[in-house]
Amino acid sequence: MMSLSALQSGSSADVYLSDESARLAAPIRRLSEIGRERGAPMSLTEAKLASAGVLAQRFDALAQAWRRECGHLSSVREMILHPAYQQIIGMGRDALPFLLRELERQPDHWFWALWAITQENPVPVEHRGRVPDMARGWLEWARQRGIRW
Amino acid sequence: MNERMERLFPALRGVPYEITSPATPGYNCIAWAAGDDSRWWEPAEPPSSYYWPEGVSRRYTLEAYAEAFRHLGFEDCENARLEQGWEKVAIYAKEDGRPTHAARQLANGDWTSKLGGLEDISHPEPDHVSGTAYGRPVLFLRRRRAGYTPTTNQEETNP
Repeated sequence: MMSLSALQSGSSADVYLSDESARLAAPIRRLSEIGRERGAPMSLTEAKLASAGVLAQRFDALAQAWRRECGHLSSVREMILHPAYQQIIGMGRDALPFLLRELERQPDHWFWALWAITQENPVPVEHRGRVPDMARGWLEWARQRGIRW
Repeated sequence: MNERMERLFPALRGVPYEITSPATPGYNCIAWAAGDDSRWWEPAEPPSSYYWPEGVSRRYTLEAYAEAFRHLGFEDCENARLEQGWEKVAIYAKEDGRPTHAARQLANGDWTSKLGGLEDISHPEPDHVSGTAYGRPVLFLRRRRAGYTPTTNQEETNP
């Protein structure tokens, strides 16, 4: 695993053990810089948790904006074109835990985002349009792959 | 009175509308107008996972939406006027012709609309949900109301 100091140095020869590590590197680096500037030591775990918190806040804000502005629409095609929804898709796999949490808590039309991010579609034909069943299908899909939320 | 609803649909202001269900994303206006409150109807092609009647074109056109209702026994008609024994639906579209909404007429002449993932409401006229959000009603269809028995020489008052 790459050390915090190596992350802080931002070496052009950076090598990451996983895509997720690579994605987390920039915010972790930034948080470490903030920590140094303010004289507060920060462990890699703390930085990772802080980064996850930032992602959660960003997702929640986008999801709220989307619901507020698209709740009255009867076409999912229009809903998914909303900038907030597109930005959630843009979060990539970082958004998966939050999308799954939303499906579990309050099923809504996150299915297109899930398909766009994962390129998979676990919804069987007989469940098409049945939002609670579609949500359960995705949650089961995630459990089978060990995706946590 | 619902402030958010009236902000989205200004034509509801001052009108005796009624909220008739809780908000839910489980079904939309097209489904509700078709009498289905268990599924969201959407013509999008797979990998979209939404319901659309078998054999009806999966296109976001007025014709495809009308065909979805003709599939259920509806036929085109001239207007929204209450006709005893007939159940009518209105399909709404924006100025560019994009279908946006459908409403169903109740037996008493009022209309019922599912507002996307928001609540169902009943409203006296189709135009009470016209405006920026949905455009206006552009197509009407009708079918015989279930349980209707035509009589002669008297007005039918089936519920």
